[in-house]
Amino acid sequence: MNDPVYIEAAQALARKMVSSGKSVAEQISKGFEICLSRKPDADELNRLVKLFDQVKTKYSQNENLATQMATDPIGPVPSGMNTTELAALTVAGNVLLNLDEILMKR
Amino acid sequence: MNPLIEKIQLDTRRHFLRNCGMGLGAGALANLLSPEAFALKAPQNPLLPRKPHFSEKAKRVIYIHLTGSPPHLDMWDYKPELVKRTDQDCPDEFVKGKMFAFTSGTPKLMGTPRTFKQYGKSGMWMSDAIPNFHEHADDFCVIKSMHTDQFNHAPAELFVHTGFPQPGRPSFGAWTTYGLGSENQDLPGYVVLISSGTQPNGGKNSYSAGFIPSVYQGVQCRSKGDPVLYVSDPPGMNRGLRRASLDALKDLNQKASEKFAHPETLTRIAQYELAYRMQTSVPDVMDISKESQKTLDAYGAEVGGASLANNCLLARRLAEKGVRFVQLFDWGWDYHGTNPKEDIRDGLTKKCATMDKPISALIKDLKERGLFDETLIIIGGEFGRTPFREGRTSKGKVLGRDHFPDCYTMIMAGGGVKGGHVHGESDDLGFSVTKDPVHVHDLQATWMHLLGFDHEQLTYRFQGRDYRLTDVHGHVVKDLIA
Repeated sequence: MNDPVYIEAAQALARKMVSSGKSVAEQISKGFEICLSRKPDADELNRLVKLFDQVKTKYSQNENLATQMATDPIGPVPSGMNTTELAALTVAGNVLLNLDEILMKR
Repeated sequence: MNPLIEKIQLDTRRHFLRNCGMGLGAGALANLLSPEAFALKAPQNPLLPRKPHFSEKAKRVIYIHLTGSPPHLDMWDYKPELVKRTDQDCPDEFVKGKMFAFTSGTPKLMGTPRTFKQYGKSGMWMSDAIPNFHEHADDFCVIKSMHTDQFNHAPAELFVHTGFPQPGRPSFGAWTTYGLGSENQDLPGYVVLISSGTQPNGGKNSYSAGFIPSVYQGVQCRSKGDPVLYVSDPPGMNRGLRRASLDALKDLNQKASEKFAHPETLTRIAQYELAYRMQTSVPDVMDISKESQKTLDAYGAEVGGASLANNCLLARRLAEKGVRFVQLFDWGWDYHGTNPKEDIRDGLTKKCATMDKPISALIKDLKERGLFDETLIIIGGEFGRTPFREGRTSKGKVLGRDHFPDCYTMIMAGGGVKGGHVHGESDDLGFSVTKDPVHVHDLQATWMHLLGFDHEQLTYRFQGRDYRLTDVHGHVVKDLIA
């Protein structure tokens, strides 16, 4: 989870998610599909949206932290994207990339 | 444990009702097999402390493996007759039909060039290579009649650690944590520390969990730098955010676990939670700068170093925190005589100084803290070394010995072990066991016994049969037990 490669991959995934839909639910759903080749069910989607909301609240109170999570090491926030949202999606993306289901076929 | 019962334990009520036909049948079967197991509603934390089969004599293990195998004939097993015969041709009967790693033809016998004396109440023989051990003669249980099946490093290491010479079986530490759990839920139950360079020849398989759940595998902590890679949070992450993301990860993984009921999914959940706790607990326990200068000096440890001395001190810190099994590997004990470091005179003196001092400090430290009597300490290599000079180096100036599986020495101390005791004997030249032989599987059976287990009963079903550390062998050597 803390491996720099995972962080950078989650940052790239977050940028992909932002441009893939209007609502957060759409964006996270797309990210989920990219990772697992299936759509999330309602529970799964709700849980990830809940995480996004929690984390976004915290990042909106701390600009520096948000900028680090959204850009270090991948690079500056692309124009038209919101740093706080990007940071929160990065955390959600990091969770996606660490799911048991993505790492192992059971 | 039985995978069928585990699967049933993991099933939720929803699952149970959905798969009613099969579920009820399997449930009834599980009930017949093990009522207690079925009574468990939720899967338990696999590392919670558990009671063994009978009352244990040792609660934890510190295993110091001297990788490469030290020359026991120059440290523990004194052979005056061999000294008299130094440079004579090795009698044919000892080498005929036998394979040695680097010796063929007729080698030259070599008695020890070192000085041996008797120490302690027991009059235990030890050489001048290990001066710091002399005062511990009455703590040590010395087994002079060890023998193994393997004469090359990797298979012999795997054999002593996993009971099998090929990779893939669970290691002694894995069996221990599988059987006993661990007393500290914020640290791994099975920690591996490596010094003097590199991993053992047997590699990570020497401390793997094999086919038992990987939550029981040894976790290597580095004594220099970040103790565990990426233990610190990345930029932009703080404890609160990490907790929130782990909660989401746990919920989603829990769902996957309910769906597939794979034990490794639970292991993953447990590992992420352990990793979270370790983010603060591991840097704390691994930081020896909090120790007094007196303690550091006693061990010969240096803050920021990565020596066996540091690792012995860390072993004490980990034992104190309730870690069940601490495995140390120290590289550089392969005394072939191919360079001056591998000479059994000066080279051995220097190497032993990095080993006997910290281990002596460890024993004293454990005693002071009242932990010695409940900690099983094991010291030794994967085999012994020949009573003759190694073939490749026999014409050179450096004195070395070849690998020798037929007869060698292992040391134990602490929890439940008879102190000041010498078990077994080798013949006058050190070629074979003449009294009370102890095979590697016998030693393993004895270790399990000291931890409170019947080695034949602590099993794990895999590919249709119940496996154990001792495979299908091993007898407890009662004579080693206090």
